[in-house]
Amino acid sequence: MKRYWIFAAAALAVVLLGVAVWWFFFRKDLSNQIVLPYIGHQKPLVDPHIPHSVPLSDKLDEVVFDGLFNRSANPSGVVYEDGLGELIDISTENVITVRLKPAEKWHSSFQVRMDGDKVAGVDELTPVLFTAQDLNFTLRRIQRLGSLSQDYIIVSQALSSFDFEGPDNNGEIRFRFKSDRQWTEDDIKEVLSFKILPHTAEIAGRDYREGTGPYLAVSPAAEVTNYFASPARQARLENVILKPYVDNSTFTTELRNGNFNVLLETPFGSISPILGDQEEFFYKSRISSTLFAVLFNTQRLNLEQRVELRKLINNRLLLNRFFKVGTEQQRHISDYKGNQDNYEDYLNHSVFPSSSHYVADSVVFPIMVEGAPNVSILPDSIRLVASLNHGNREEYRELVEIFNDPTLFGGKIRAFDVQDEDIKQGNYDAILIAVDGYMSNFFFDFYSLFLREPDLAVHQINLKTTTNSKGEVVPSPQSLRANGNFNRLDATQPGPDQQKLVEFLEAMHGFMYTNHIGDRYYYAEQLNQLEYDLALGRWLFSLPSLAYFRSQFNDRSIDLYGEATQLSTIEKWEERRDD
Amino acid sequence: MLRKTTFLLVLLFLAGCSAYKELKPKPEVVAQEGEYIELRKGDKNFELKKDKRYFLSFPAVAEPNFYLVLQSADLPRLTTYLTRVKPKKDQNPVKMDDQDSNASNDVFALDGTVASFYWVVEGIREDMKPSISYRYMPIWRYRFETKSAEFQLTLEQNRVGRQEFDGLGTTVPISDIVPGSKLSDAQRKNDVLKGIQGEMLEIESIFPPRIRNSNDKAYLAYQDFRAELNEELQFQENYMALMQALKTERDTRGRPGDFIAASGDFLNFFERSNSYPANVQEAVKRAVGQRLPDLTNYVDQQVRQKRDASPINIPIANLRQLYEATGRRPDRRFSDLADFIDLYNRNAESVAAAAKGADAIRADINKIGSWPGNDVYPQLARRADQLISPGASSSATYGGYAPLPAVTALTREAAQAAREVSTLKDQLNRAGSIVSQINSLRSGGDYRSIIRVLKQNEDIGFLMRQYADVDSRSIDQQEQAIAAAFNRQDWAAAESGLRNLYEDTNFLDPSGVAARKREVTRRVEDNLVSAVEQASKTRINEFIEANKGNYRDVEALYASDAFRPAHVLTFSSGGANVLEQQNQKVQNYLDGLKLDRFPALAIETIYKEFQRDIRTDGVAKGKAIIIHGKYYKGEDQKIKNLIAEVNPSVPKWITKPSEYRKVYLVPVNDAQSGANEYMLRLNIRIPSDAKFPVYDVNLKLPREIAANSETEAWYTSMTLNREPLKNEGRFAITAPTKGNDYTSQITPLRVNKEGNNILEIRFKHSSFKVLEVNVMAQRPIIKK
Repeated sequence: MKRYWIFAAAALAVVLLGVAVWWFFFRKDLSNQIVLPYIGHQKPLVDPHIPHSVPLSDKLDEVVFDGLFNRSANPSGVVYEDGLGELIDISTENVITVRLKPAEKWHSSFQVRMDGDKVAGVDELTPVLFTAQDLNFTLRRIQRLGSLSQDYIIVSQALSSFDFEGPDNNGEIRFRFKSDRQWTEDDIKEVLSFKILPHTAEIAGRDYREGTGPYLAVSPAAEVTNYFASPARQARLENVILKPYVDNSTFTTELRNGNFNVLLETPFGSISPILGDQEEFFYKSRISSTLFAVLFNTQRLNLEQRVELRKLINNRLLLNRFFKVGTEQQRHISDYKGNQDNYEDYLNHSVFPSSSHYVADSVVFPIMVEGAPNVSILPDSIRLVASLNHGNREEYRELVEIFNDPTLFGGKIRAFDVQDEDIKQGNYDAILIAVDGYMSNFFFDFYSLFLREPDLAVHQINLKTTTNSKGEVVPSPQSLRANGNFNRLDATQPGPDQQKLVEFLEAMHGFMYTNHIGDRYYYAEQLNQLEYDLALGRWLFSLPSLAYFRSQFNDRSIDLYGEATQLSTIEKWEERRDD
Repeated sequence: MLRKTTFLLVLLFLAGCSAYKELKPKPEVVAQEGEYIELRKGDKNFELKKDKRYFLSFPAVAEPNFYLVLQSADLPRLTTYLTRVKPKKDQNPVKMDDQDSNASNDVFALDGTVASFYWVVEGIREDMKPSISYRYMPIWRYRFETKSAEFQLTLEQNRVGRQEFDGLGTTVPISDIVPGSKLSDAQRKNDVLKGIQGEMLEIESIFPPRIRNSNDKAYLAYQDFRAELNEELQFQENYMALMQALKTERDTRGRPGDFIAASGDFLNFFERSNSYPANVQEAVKRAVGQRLPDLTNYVDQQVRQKRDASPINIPIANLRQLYEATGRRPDRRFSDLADFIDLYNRNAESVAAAAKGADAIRADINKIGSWPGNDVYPQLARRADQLISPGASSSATYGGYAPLPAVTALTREAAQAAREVSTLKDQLNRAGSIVSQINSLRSGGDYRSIIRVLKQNEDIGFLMRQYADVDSRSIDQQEQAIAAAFNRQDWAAAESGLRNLYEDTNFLDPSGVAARKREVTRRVEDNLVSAVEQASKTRINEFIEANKGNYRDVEALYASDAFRPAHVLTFSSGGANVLEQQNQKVQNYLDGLKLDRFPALAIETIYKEFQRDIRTDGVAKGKAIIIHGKYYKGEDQKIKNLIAEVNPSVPKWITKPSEYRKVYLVPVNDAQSGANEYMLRLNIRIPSDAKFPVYDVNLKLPREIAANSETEAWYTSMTLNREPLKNEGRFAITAPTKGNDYTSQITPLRVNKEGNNILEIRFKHSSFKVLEVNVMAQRPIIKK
């Protein structure tokens, strides 16, 4: 018996030693790296001036680019830091003097030397310095983008013309800000926080990689690049690695397995039970940025049918099923305010999500969908489609399953996982769609909802504008053509909805184009009402935004806040030191 | 060197003198009266070369009126002249006139202006040796000697024949005489001889004193010729007088009026008849005397045809004398007629004299200025007393001529003159008394009584004229009395005087003075109105000046009498409507001050003080401005703004974004209490290109108001266009804290793009004073 115990102990020791040896040789070393997952066929395209449907795209803006001033954060909230400029003076006449930093280098001043997959070093080339010409180019680009760019809205609040005087011998330039307010230092830095591109860039490019920001692209020619800390900056972690995955179904497992160390959007936005070890992981919540909606095909459903279909789809029911509320598998959530399992807060009752400023701050009052649906006027079967190939796969799959539950909608709705071509052809009565990266601040993006090309593989906004007799920029009805949006809205074709569609388009453009808060509120009210009247979709709910980090990082070095992109403080992230 | 220079000077001198050569006669020229003396050089004549020029000096003479006479047959071949200056080359001498046109004589009048005269030979036709004589002689002698023969001849040629004269009435019948032609012939000759007589007198006038009564032959010849000439001239005078008388007699035949008119000339002839021989006297008496009887009828006819009372214009005395001069006796008819004319003319002249005397007095009366002294008319009255009143002459005194129209006219005029003299005396006597009375009244300024006295004596026209301005004086006196009342600011008395003046009809010439009375009445009335207005203005201005800074009991200020006219007028020449307008004008002016200038000035003054020291009586000052503002009806936006600045119920306009504006908050309640109410009203009217503008409204509050905002709301109500504003949704009213410098922000405040946006905030506080709040609205911006 005694011998038996001896053998057992020896065997255990051998096993433990083997495990130790295996861990030592095969453990995943993510030190000095920030590794982020992405959906392999949804490659992030970086354009710092317009939003993109792939959420990582917008987040990478902060990695690569600088503004004259950078919007950042600290534990107390938003801070503005000098970027490529330095605020010198604010005159009583609202002339803003900014000194352009004279030695800021574009990333093309460096060449990254690779050793296999790893960066062997960074060589300095002939310096390419930031100049006023770059600033001028960027301003022209923003002005050209107009309402497609939130930077246009912000800058146009302050500048009547997108230009400046200078630079003088001191490298100082002067902006003449509008005189309708007292511009504080923070206001000015906010206005001048747009990201700056080199003047050699294409003005109508799709993917920009050369900036002056904390990280430079490792392989500029590749479709997806990794990033390495710029020698010109002091990012605390050298590598930013983008790791491709087929979908998000394995994200939590992969994080747990140490294949990456930052998961910016957790499936379902819920707390993951497998990442519950607080010694290994920590999470940070922020305001929602993904919503789910069912958009109705106006070419196949008339207004009356759409109204009834809207009634038929009970979003609260869906939400509860989605989060398995009241079951043992309930997906728990936690918001940035510290609330737990507050699912109701994520229900949307308007085209404006409940998290948005417009609903949260009572700019608009969602019109609640009430009453029993008259299913008799609906088609026998509502063909609801979804694509599981473009992110949010887990969520889509769950929702498709729920929609197909015959106990919920009387079997009226049949949900299908379809290919992109079906969607392009409009072969659906309704489409389940997730809108990623929406902003809950003033810049809720209507174009992404109603003017997006119905092709989930690309992000194209079909806005067409013209100038009216008053010289005002107005939307062209050509912006709304049946094959140009998920709702199959067509303002060019006669029909019972046409007049309201034109109004809707105008209100949408007015909302996106104006830089006056009051006007934006007005258009928001209009859009709220018009969308309800037109019954363009059923607004389901938003996802909580929950980012998981491995405890490799010092959680106090990572500041996420409100509406800002999650990577805006990335150069300050640091690894935890146990001492 | 000196020698060379001297030599050259001598040469130059000689060269300069070489143009004229002086002729020096021997014997030398002697400047004294004498005979002709030949100019020679010794025993030779001077030799004159062609192309040479010569001169010869003649000394001046001491006596005046002397000629230098040069005589030569060669003179016509020489060009000469006499000058006072020695001739030189290239000189332009003043040439003296040659007094004789005879080419062989050069005659020059000498004088004492120079010591020597120079006779210059300027041109010589050929070389010659002329024989030239000179002579100094008095001018009278030269003239008489050169004219005496001519005078004698002229006298002889112009003598009047004496045969007819000597034989008139004896050998020559008067009827053979043609007096007209005789008279004209004698007159022509007489004129010629009088010309000679003139020249003789001219020569005589330059006789040197020594020549008179001398035995100078020329002088004696002159005297003889002159006597002969005078005798002939005297005869011609008598001859022509005779011929004139004969011609007149002949010319007036058949024209008795003309003969009578020439009666004086005949009498003049007879007065000098002693200058004529007896035959001539008798012949003329006969010619004239035989014309006299025919004149009686003519005179009688003239008398009977006369119609007026003027003297008869016939020289009846001349006719009587002609009767006497011609030795004839007038018949009785002529004598009666002449006597009548004498009587009539005496009476006519008496009437004329009385009328003339009265006229003279009247003329003197007319010369009397206005407002005469007391002694003026008594003096004139005494003169009038001395006027002899023409008797009421009876026509019977004219005998057979009494029925003549002229007599009737004269009798009537005599009676008229007598009456006038009597009336004049009476008026003068009364005028003396009246003037004395008037002067007494005048000293008391009682012109209205003077007018009454004068009107009682309106028949004395000259007095009316002399006091023609009494009406004006009466008006002036009344005007002055009213002016004195003005000066005493006795408006009632002034107005009473005006009314009396307006109603006054006691004037010498009411219509004549009406315009002036109207003008004075109008002026006085205007003055009264102006004076009342000015007094009212002065009083109100003093009141305003004294009270513009008064901020206590302001309401009572507006009840002051100063805002009413100094005197309410009760009379106007223009009637009730005008009176009403006049009173209303003053009241309107005062109302204007009451409702415009006074509150405006007070508001400006108090506001300045309010701003200077808001802590001392700030509420009282503010309330005063508000009360003044209540009365202010002016249009001055600046004043309105000042009122608005203080009046809590008036919204303060916010028209510019981003600029802080100070707002004074005066308590709403008038009296201090435990919880005094304050109200801030803003009207946000900021131009915006937004369709639906929104603003951040920042209120920087006094610490004392905001200090407790953490425990209780600092405001009791906040509305925008009467709609309550509450902290909800996007809308926020931030609490004023020490951390935000006690700034409360209202955001986003959505306003109407057009129209008023009245933001009203009420709060209560224990303090009772003026609070200062700084307000700013600006456009909020969209941030990421």
